Amino acid sequence: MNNSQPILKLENINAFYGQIQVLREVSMTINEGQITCLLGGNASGKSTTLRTISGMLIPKHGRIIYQGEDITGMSTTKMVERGISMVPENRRIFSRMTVKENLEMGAFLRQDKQNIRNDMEKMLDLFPRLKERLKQLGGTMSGGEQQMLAMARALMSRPTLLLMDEPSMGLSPLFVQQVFKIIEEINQQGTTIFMVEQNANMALSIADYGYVLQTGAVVLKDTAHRLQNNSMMRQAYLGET
Amino acid sequence: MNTSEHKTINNIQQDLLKCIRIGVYAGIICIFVALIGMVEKFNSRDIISEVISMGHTLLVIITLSGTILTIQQFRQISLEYKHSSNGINYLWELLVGIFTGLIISSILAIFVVFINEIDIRPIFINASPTLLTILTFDKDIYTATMNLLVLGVVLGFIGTLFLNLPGKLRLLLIAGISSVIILGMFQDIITIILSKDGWPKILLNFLIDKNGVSVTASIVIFILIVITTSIYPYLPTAYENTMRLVAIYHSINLRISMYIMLAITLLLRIYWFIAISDKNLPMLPLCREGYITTNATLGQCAIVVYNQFNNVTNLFANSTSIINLIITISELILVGSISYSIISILWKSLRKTKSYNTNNLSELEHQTLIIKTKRNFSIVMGSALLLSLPMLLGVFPSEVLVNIGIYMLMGFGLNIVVGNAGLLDLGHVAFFAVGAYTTALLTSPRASLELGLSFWAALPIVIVITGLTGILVATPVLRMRGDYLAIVTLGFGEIARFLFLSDWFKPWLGGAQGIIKIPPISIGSIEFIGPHRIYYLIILFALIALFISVRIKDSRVGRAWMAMKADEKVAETMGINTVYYKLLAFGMGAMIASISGAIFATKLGTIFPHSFNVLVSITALSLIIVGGIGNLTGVIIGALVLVGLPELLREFSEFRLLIYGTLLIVMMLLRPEGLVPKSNTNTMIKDQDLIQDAWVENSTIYSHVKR
Repeated sequence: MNNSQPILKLENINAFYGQIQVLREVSMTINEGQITCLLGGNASGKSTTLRTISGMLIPKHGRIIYQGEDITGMSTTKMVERGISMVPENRRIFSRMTVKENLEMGAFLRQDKQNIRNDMEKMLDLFPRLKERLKQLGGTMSGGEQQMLAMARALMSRPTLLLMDEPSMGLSPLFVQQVFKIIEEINQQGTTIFMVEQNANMALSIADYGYVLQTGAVVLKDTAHRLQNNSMMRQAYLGET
Repeated sequence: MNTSEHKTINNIQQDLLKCIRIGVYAGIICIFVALIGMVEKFNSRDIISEVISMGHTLLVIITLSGTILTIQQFRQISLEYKHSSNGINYLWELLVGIFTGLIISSILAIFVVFINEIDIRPIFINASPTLLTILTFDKDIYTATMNLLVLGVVLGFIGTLFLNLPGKLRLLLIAGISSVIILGMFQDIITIILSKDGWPKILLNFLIDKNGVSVTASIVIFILIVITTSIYPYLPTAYENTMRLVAIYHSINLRISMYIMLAITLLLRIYWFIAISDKNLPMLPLCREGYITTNATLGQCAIVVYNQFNNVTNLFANSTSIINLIITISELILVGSISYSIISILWKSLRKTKSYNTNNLSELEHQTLIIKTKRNFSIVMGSALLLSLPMLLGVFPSEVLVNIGIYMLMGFGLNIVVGNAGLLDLGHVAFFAVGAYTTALLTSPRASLELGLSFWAALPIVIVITGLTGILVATPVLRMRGDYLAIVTLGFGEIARFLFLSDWFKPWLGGAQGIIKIPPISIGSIEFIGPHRIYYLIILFALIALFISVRIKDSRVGRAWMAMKADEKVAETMGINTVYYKLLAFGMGAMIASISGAIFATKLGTIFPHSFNVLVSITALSLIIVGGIGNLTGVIIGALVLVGLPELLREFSEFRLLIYGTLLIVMMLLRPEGLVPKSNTNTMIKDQDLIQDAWVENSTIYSHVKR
């Protein structure tokens, strides 16, 4: 898999919240068609990395290169236009809109109505749960269903790169397994996935490549398989002594 | 002593404390309304002529609510500590009620004795001898105090009794009594309307006595309302069944029957008025003298129409004729649709059994048809009623309606900013003012520009300029949200007023003198002077604004706003350009408000900076909140309640802000979602779903929905 093309490259990113430096010289490469996961403890800068990529936070130094184009400092809207879509942390679906409306919101920038309809059917095949609840208000669904809706909503923009912020957060173990299975499925259909995750075991089991952040700096990077066997990794994150 | 006894004693203490607390509160409220002059002011009018005055009603209502509140709280407590038997419970409840009533009345009695002994007028100007007469019922102080105490006991008793009535009976009583009170409160406006030509004088004489609703009328109305309320639960089903029948009739020949009905009414009307002048023709039974006089205005209109059939060229020469024509047409639609539905029901009920079989409709199609019929029916009835209102009500109520309309228009504009896009804007008056001032500048020949454009030429310019102002104001506040945005927009609103007032702009905008001689709006030779004509303009623009608001809500733009309101960050990750949509919201809101301002300017003919104070913004915002944020029906109802009521209730006008505040607090406590909460619109959504389903059944695109 090493021969696949890099789709997104972070080059020496330094990001700040006011005066506080959160990311220090972070460099990463996300390869096309792969699942890359970003691991790390609390306050290690995982979510900030995602925020930086999605354009919500503009880094002070460093460059973000997407498909050969420098997209540093570009607005989130333009990122979506270029095919970067995001599943935000804690789902954050539109709770007062129905499932169908939520999905339609995901395709906001697209004009091709027929394809949107087809995609919606695809989503409903991928997430059969949503099909049953098409007219239900988003906020009245369970956490797992909301996570699925958030993923489906992000996919509705036909992204080439899907960013996911802690897809397993607050879900029952059974749902976590289901969610990860679906993530794998999405990836197999050709979407590159970059996800931030606390559940290192689960994440590494489906990922191709992994990065580990610690206090804002990359301390480990390797293929997922090797990371799983890395002794330091096992001690720090995989719960082995 | 064992624990249960201990609990009971504890319980009694608690109950007594509660009585005293609520009693004292209610007593203080009584004194408060007396001292601010409400009682005295209200007392000038009787609810029921020479039986009870409005001032007394106010005090009675406060006392009754006090006792009822205590007993309700008492019931909550007694749910926790169950008393031994129901009988004791009732007795205890009665005691609690009477005790509270006694406390309230004794506080009032002490107050009466106090202002009788000590003159506090230098401090409280309203503690006048008149107030004393009202509170003592013109008796000497000893009997008055005794009377008050006895009254308190009686009211406490009534309150308890009232709460112990079965729910249905209580509802009937509330409906009956409150409708009599409402009638009494609105007696002024009713007198004005009914004394207009065209309404039978008997009705007025029957309803209103010297200084309030007559005793017989109040009894009759009480009984009528009680009867209506008791059959009310069956009305929706009746309506549903009626509509079902109408729908079937519709499906056979909708348009033709409608036209036939219209034609028949029209012909009848023309015949009536030929018959009056021509004695040779036989009078139809419906054309009796009485009917003609009650419809004198209608009659004149019909004659105008009749004449114009002969002389079409004359149609535009007489400016009033167009208005009359509108009125006549609307009345015809009204009469036509009513008779149409009655006949169609009769028609169907006669051949009831056959009709269901002859129609090969699926249940879903049938449902859709009923919904559509309902919609058509309400549109026809509603528009006919809307169009004939100024004719039915006369000049003063039309003036009130115009004011309501102006605020309603502004409310529609503000609703786009606050309700749709979720941006709390407290300075909407700025756009209203810019609209008014731009109109004045462009149309008034006396304004500095000396352009003297016609209203219709100026309107597009006004809209564009105000829209740009909206965008200009929005640009610096793009990053703000919630409270911060509210404060900043509040500032903008005030800045606008000060700019209009400033010396700097005085050469153009006239400073405190404002701009005068704004010509009225005209179409051809018809000038829109007077509220009963401006009303039609307001209706026109309000409908346009309503249409835009409804359409935009479900459009791409509306969705973007909805998403932005729910979660700005996530909206951005959907690819929504929040900057653009925020500016758009402000721009559109400003545009709609500018139309409102333009009409306001032409209506008054003169504008001053002082007309555009912060209260206008607050009223516009309150009417949205009272109605239910983001809800268009809510805007309409909010405008009716918040703008209409204070205009109609003369006694209230002094205490308008007090009542606003109380109303807002009560609203926030009891119905935080507004008078028309979202749940009420669910039936509408259901209807839409049904129509969608019917469509889906016939289309293959949404095949997955069917599964």
